[in-house]
Amino acid sequence: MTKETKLKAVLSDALEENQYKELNHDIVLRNDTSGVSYFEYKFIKINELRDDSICISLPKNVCQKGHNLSLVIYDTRPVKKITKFPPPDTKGSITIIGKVIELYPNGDDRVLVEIKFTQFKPNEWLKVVESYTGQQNNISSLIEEVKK
Amino acid sequence: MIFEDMNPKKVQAIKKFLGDKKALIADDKKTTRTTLKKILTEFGVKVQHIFIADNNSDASEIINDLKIDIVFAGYNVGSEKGIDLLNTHMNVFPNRQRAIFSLISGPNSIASSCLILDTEADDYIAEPFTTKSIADSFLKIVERKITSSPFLNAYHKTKELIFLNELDTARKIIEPLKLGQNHLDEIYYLEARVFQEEGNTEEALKLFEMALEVNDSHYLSLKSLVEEYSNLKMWKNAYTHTIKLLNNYPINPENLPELIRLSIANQQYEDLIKYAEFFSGLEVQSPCLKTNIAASLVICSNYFMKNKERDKGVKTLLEAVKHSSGKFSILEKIISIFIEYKEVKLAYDILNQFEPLHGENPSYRNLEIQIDYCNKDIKSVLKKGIPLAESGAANIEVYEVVILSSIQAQRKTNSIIHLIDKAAAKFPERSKYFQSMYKE
Repeated sequence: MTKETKLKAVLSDALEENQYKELNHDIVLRNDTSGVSYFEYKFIKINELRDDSICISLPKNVCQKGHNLSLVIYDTRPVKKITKFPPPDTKGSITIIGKVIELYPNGDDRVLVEIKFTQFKPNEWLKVVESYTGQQNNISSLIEEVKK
Repeated sequence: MIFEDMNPKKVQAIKKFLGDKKALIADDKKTTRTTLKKILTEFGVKVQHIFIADNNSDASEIINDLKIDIVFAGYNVGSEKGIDLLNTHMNVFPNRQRAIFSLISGPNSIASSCLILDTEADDYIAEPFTTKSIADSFLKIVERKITSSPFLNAYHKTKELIFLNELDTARKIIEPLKLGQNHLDEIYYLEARVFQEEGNTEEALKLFEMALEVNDSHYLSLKSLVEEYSNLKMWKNAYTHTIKLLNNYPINPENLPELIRLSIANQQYEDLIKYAEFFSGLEVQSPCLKTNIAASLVICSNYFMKNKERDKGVKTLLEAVKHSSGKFSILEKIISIFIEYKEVKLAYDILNQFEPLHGENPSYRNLEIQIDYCNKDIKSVLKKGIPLAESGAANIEVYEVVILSSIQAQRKTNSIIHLIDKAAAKFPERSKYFQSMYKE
């Protein structure tokens, strides 16, 4: 943690925004097997990032096991409501094509899916993965300072 | 992969440590369970020693029956909180030197991880995670756990004894440690904890302060001092120690509203303006954190309104709506403040916005009736308010406005008295007031 040489005079000055910011990527997808797109990125949550796959939770019936999906992953929340599937290389996003290789129920209305990438730019994906690894490193460093 | 480039002796020590350990993964997400299981086996935990649970009740039973050494708990396990399993684990392993408890959590800000700093949990794994981030994090904990020294043994033993409330024995361990020159911050902290458990707050405070003299960023001492000074209403001390705490560590976002209370208690009103800006600027995903921010903004805006800073108050309340995630208890407070300060149109707009979500909630109807009264729409107040008052679902304000409207509408005396009796029966502490509202 950043140590200040001089104490802040008031409490509000001692709050550091970066420490309270959550790291997030938003995803929209097109189911290339069914031809249906899903733009409600607020309902798609990333659970796990792997070298060449991703586990996400999303509403059921968006995709099934074996379906091919195109994913657009945004590093900042889209400003405008998305109404059509974004073209590749849209600013602030990466596009990945993959296949649903696992699908498990996750509560009554949602499913957990693992999507194995078939077409992606490893360098772009690595940057996303590393941002989360970095966040975990920051968390671990804080914990290390306190725990014996 | 995990042990690549690592000293073989260390690898051996880790494998020896984990070789006989039993692990439980309590998480309702199958993908998470699969990943954790794979990592644990790569670390050397035997596959037959890894157990799975998807709810807290099963998890507690497994921890107790099988004396589970390592627990990975999801933030939510079914409908319960994974952190609640820590207490069960503490009862099985009150000495934490060889036991591990990791929380896998949705909120991933650095501050969110402070949730575990105040507990005996060892790690906070933020979602989304990667195999590497979990493995690295787990490795750090295991390295910590296999590190042994006379001081660390005494440290963990003392904490165990404090947990078991064997305070005299704890003190016997601490006494000789005080003669040395090392780890005095931890030793003073432990002694303070013993006094704290005995109810001797004065001595505890002295020792926590002594720990800070040795190490001015000793987290647990700072945290304890803030709590104790707040309990004693020594607001200035609580405030300055919170500044010291925040200069070195973030705080659990769930405790952000506490900062506001502390600033108000110390009349540091300039803080409130900055908090409002700070909280408004935070884009968070976690609904829980969002509602905490909304609650914080409501407190700030109430202060602005009270001090006739209308524009700031309105702006802050509208920000609070954005962060409320539609939670009714927060919206109710926001709308009530707007009603109190005669911002009826704003109150109505917000109420209307959430009609599809909360329209059936009697508390929603209560607010609607209060707004009708502010708009001098006596007819609507009576039409909607009388059934609510008759059903007993009306709140104190609605009983009041329905009685006043009944008087204005010159309803029959019996009907008005009947309403007053209903209100007095539901709110006996305001009975006299209700009785005084109407003279035949």
